[in-house]
Amino acid sequence: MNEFTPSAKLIKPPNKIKQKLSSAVNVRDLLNPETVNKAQKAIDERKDSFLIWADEDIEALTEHLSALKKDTITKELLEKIVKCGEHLRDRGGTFGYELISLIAKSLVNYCLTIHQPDPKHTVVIEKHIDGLKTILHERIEGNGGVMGTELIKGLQQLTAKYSQ
Amino acid sequence: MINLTAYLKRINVLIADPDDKIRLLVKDVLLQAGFTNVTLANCGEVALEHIRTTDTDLLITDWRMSPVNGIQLIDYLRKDSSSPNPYIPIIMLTGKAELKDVAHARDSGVTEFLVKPFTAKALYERLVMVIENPRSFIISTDYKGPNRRRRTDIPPNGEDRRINPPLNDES
Repeated sequence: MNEFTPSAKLIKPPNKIKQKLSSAVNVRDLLNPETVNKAQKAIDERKDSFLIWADEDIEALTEHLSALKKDTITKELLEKIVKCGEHLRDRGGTFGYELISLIAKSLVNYCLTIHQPDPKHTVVIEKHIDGLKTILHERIEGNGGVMGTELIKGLQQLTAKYSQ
Repeated sequence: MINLTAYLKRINVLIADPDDKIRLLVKDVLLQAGFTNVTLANCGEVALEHIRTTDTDLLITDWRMSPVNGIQLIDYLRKDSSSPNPYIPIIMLTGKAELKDVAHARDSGVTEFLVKPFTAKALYERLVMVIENPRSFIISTDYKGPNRRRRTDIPPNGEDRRINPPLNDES
């Protein structure tokens, strides 16, 4: 049985939020350019903070990479790398650094495919971290234009080659 | 003119996200709109306890949380007989953006899905959808949640149907 079989029930739950608001309130006013711009400004004002957070995450990634080079890949170490990668992926584009998000997404996705220790993984992870360092150092905002496209393409080729 | 800000203060919002920076950022975006009752939770367990003990109107949750992740939280809220609020509107805000992830979240019963990185506008658009266009609920043996086929919410009399202009009669 699924929702499209006759035995499925279709109900209209009470709209609690709407009930709490006056019927004269138009929530679509949230989308007024002035309101949206004010909220987006609140995000943009934290851009400098993002750069500090990103620097911390990339520093942590560099330490994890050093550990990877000394020892074998462990689940715990991979989880730490994924966590830093997720921070960069989720935050980067929010603050205008889309290329950071794209590279971090590629790093996270690659790490999630690793099930067996293999030195080749260290190479792929290192290339991603190098890319992230460059973007942060050069303060490359947006998608990085042609350079960004080439960088992503190179990482895609590398991950495709080494993915298990 | 009605002051939306004055009314949004009545709405209780819960943000569940393991990333403290994102949690605060989302809260800030909501505050800018006029929401004032915004609570933060760093995992699904804390979020669930909050929903159990307070009148929460809206949940914005990430997927990847531990020990209770976003999907487990939604599963419990939608399907468990002891759920404190099975119909609560849920916006999933997550970096897990593959098609299979979206389908998984949808099948768990999320109301709206928003991918990180995000913009203020995208978050407000989801809020408007949740409040102004609430979807009917399906209750079946294998699914409980918002109707996954939005188009079936079209009024039965078809008044919202798009009317095609008449074809030119070339005869």
